[in-house]
Amino acid sequence: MPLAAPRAPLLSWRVLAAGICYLIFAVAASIPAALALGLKILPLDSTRRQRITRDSIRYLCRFYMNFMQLAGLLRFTVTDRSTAPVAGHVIVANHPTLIDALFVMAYVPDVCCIAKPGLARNIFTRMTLAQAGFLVADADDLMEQACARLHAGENVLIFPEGTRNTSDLELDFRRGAANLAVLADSPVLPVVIHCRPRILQRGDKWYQLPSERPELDIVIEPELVRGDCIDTSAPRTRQYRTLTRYLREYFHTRLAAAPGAQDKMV
Amino acid sequence: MPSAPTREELHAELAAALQELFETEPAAVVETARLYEDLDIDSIDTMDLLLRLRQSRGRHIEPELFRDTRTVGGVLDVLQALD
Repeated sequence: MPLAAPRAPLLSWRVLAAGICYLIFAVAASIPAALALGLKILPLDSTRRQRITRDSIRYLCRFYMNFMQLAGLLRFTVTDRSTAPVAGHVIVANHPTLIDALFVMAYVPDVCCIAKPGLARNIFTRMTLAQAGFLVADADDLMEQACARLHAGENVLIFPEGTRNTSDLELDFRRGAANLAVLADSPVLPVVIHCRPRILQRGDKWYQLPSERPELDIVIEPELVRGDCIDTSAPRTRQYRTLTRYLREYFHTRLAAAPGAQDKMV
Repeated sequence: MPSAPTREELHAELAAALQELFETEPAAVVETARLYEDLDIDSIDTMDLLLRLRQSRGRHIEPELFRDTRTVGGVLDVLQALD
């Protein structure tokens, strides 16, 4: 792809910075692991350990986001429109880039992630995930575990798309997030992530950067209570479906209204 | 003593349950229809379906029996084998 001449030097710097960021991430990711190891030998109860690990992940993610911004790799804004304390919420976010989960972990407190089985077994990440009390996607009783976490006041993060999407406006929402909100009778906290141009997509190489600097806008919306969104007298099985459709529509409306949303990105 | 339900009766019962629970078009509930790919019924839905069939058939149905079931015909096979 030919690049506009004045952009080129900037791009080469950004490729270098991107490389540095990946290295920093690898090092930074081992900090909670080291901490987790230390915490393991201290006589702390698991709730305390989990809290410390999650806080350390939260501040590392914030540091990392700000570092990337400082390095000129991206610019981001975080808008918090939540109206109530965020506890016991199903955090539902769209998934345009690799780093969405890091943003959510950086700016939403006490987040319980559902990790890919691979990460839960990876020697570098598994200790951190275990100490942070993250759930593993292939657990047989995943739903029961997630409900218990919500009822204990933790926030469970789910990307209904399951994986990074390929377009802002073709959202393929699966029902897991709605299932959980209905089963646990928990409110939903939507986090709408908008990235233009799209970066760090599935199949992208780390050095493939767009010619202009990406702008990310993360909006933490006010909570959605199920009774305000759908007919809660319908059978649960129908509520899963209507709530999934509602959420999809909710995200679609907001993403379609974002500037440049109609641009076709390839 | 009532005779065991025929496959047609079971099929009609299943179609009615699917419509009630999942808004599935009865016309789509054919023997070869795949539960997940064609009818959009996932693992959590399957548990709810079993609960519903348990009520209408008045007997316990082991979820284990459906572990390898992927199609409407497969569900009917298992239900028929119960009676």
